[in-house]
Amino acid sequence: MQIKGKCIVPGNVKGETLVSLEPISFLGDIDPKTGKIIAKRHSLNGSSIAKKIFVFPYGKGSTVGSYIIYQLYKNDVAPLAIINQNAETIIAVGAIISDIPMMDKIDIKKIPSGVQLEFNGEKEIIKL
Amino acid sequence: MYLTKEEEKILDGNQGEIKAKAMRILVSIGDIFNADRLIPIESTQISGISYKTIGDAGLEFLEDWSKSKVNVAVESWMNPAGMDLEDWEKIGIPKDFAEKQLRIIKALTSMGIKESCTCTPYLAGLVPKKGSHIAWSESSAVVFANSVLGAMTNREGGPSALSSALIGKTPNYGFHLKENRIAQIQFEINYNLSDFEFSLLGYHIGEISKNKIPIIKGIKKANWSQLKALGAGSAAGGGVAMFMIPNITPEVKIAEKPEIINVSRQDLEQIQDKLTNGENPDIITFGCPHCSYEEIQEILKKSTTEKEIWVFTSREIKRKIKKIPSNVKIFSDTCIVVMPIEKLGIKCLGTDSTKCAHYTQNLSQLKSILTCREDLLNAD
Repeated sequence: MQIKGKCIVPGNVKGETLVSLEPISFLGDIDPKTGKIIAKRHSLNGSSIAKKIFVFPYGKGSTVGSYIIYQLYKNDVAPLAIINQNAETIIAVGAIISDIPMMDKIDIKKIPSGVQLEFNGEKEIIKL
Repeated sequence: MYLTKEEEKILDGNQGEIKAKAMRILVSIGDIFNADRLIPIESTQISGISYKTIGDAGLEFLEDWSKSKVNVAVESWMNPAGMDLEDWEKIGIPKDFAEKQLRIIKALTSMGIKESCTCTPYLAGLVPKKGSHIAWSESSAVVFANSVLGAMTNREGGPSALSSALIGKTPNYGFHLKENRIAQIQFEINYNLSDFEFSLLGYHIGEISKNKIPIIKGIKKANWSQLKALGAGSAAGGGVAMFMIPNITPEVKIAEKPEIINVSRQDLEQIQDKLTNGENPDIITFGCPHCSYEEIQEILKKSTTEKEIWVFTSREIKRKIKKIPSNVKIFSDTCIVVMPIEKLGIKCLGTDSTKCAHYTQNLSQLKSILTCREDLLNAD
């Protein structure tokens, strides 16, 4: 299956998906040292986003979230790519400064968690 | 979004990796908000300066960018830091905090950003002209620039303001477009406001307006100090980036059928109650936003309390203050909101600023008492 989106940070990668149906605030929800989801009430608490294709509807919370994404990248535990339903500036800026391929305008409900996904930023498509 | 050939080249990396990233940030934001192009700006105000706020993550980012030796393209000032850069030891700021804070400042100044460390740049020499395009962060400075000065800026974040500073441009959307600068919600008052009530009114209007542009009818006169408090309250209570007051603000434009809301004194009293959750203040604090010289003179003249008073202002103004009573401390370069006050043993503070009370309770988990300046200065 192929889905068209809008490219925010280019890049072509292949990896396993980790899907959150809840919005994510990187400041507070993600541990920048390990890439683990530490948000107390989150269904994926304990899972790691490191080297995954991290899928969530949009970002929320503090603009410091952009810097947390940067720390994940510096600690080599950043996601392989980010897919959002609707991008907002905190995540977009975080992905840009950390060179993490990113796309939005994708219906994330169509993406199962734990499957292989091909992310093609140039063509603006994802393949399951 | 349309990019000139030169902008495309920067995006492709011909001015280096960091400027390419800065350009990509501007292009991305422009796309998110449907900007048609980038426009040149005259100045930037950059937020995300305090080590308390941005932590090791922000410090790493700023040091990495500064290592590439990029420089800002336009006059760029910065928000308050997490401590008084000269007197931090006297207040008891921990050494490891201070060391990292100083590294942040160094990274910023090495990129050509002025060590202004104030949320009121317009009181320290950076006064944008009416109609000029700027890229400012710091919510209270943004609302003052748009409303009182008639300059044009969106509510920038730290990285977007820094990117605009490096490129000298900002995406053309939001408050840069005249057609967006129209009030959609009209507040009506039929009594005279005290200084303190300007702050309460601001917060109340902010909560209701969220991010619409409010117009306030019934205010006959207002000085910069009162407008500063009103704006700061509105930006903290909601997401207001601009307000209008007939015969006072340079721009007054109302939508055809604005929502009309009456504001009673009880509405304002409710805000005061809402933002008061403490009883005995450890300190009395002024300067959120930073105090003007005149405000400090009034505080020093009228104070009878023996409680410790902390006053926050810009360095230019701090240097002008000569005689200070022993219970008064004047700080520059920082503010109560971005200082690590929990580490200094403060549990409850007294303030006349709705912005200060709001952030104190939400960010620092401290308690606050919100009341007028006279009550604070006479506290026993």
